[in-house]
Amino acid sequence: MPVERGSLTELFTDLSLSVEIFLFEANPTFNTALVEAKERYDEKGIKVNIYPSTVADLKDGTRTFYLDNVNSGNDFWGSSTHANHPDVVKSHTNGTELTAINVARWLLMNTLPRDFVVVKMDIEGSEYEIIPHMVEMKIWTVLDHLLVEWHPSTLSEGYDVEQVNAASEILEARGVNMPKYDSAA
Amino acid sequence: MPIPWICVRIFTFIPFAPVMALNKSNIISIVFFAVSALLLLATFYNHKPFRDHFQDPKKGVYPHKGRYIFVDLGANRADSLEVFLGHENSKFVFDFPKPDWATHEEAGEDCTLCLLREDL
Repeated sequence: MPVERGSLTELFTDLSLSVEIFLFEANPTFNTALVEAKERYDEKGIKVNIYPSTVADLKDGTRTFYLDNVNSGNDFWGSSTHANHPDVVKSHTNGTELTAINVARWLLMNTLPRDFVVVKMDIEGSEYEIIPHMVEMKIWTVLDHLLVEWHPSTLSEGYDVEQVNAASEILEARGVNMPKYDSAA
Repeated sequence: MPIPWICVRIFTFIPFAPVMALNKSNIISIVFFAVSALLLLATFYNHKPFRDHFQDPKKGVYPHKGRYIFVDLGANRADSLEVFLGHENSKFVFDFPKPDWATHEEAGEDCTLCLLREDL
């Protein structure tokens, strides 16, 4: 893959900066792609840590994850922890038990206040649970920037949007930057 | 060891300095002590003043900079990572936040990034 002048890739490989990258993905469909990405960047001297088949959650343990088998053109974007997601329903899947990680706790354990920590969150509606939990865990101690891709279509799952709005306000008041973020996916 | 020896010499010398005549041995001791003191002071001199403290208005003041960490929750096939790293053929373009000390423009002989490199 070509390296652009001035890109972060070139920056990190030329100067061997100590950037650490952690990729969490629940969908087992992407296990191979994650391993390949890790290998590819390792050859360039960029440290990538992967957590394949791992659900970002409120607590450590296991969580049932439901696969979307119908949206192949959009990387099966309906796959989630919600059994009632329309794409999951169309896929007629029963769900599979995957490892779950308490993300807030993981951040507190694996980062330091002096680190510059950027978290991107695109977790198909689970953000409405995890962000209030992050406030309970006082995540602002370590977190600098939180980029959330919101999934309002999942609010029918019983999430409390007022609670997550209040949580977001607390995080921002405590210094966590939460800019608008939306991927093309 | 020379340092303990010189300390003994100094502490025995100082109380009697007003009455002791300067002789060759004492002069050598004084010179040795002065040079040692200067060398010791030199180890504390910091020509990288901005490495003394890293101040984050939210997190406080820390003695040195930390790591640049990117956590991708919902990484799919690592396409967001390509966006983060600024690859030309990435799925979309987004300017992820980065610390002030992680900019290509600051790379050079006397710069923050070089100081980080020295620490690696």
